[in-house]
Amino acid sequence: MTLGDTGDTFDERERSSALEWLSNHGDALFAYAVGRVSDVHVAEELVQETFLAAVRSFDSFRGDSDVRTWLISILRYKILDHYRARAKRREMQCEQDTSMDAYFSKHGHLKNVSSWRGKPETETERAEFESVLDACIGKMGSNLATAFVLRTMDGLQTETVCQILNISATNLSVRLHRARLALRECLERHWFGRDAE
Amino acid sequence: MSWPRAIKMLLALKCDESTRIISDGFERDLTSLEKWSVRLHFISCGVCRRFKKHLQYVHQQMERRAQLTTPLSPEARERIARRIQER
Repeated sequence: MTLGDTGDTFDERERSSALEWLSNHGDALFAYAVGRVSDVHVAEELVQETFLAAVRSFDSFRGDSDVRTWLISILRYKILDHYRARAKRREMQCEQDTSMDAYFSKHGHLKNVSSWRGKPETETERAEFESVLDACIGKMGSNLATAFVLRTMDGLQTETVCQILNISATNLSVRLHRARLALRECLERHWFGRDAE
Repeated sequence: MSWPRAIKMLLALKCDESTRIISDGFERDLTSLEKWSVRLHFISCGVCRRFKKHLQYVHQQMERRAQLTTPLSPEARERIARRIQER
């Protein structure tokens, strides 16, 4: 059950705020979602959940950011949840903190990097690639996934990401390194190296 | 950075260091020392070359996807509005 779907009713004020957000920010939120989950129906669903969840947490909105930024931050969590659900559906285990030994040999060599499988060419292949990609982000620990999404997908400035996550620039660089190792390793297993098996 | 450390970085970079620099390269401009260390490491390390290639591809795909800007369809907008009003 999702946050926005707990079935409690809205009062008149809440309903009218939600409708106003829908008309002012609906397109922006949908564009954000569809740029990250590919599937139009999933994106619509996530946008809907975002508005419903936003009404419930309106009290926590202090107006220190603008409404759209606030709505996007809720949507971002919904998208990360969606990635995790994708990972679960593919029966990928979520790894909170993989040790570096998983990626490097005793002598410091990077392990398990197969040769290029070829780019996805057809639309179906591309959709499959994107679905694997989403699941692989969902499989990362949430610290890594959040840093990766904020910096790489949302393209926020390094300083902004550090502020949001309350970490140093060095710490962010470490997280992104780990995120990329984890992501590539997962794609190796579920995409790049698949034909080599 | 001291000369001996810089020379060690140029000539004896390990994959964990090289992948960290490659990752940083997606974030910021690398220093000349970093760039050359990785270039020299690449000569003997096909695995790190592939690591970079795979990641470049992933980044390209994410950028391509993020550029999709479809507006919310009128039907979906209508449906969401109805869901809100039902509450």
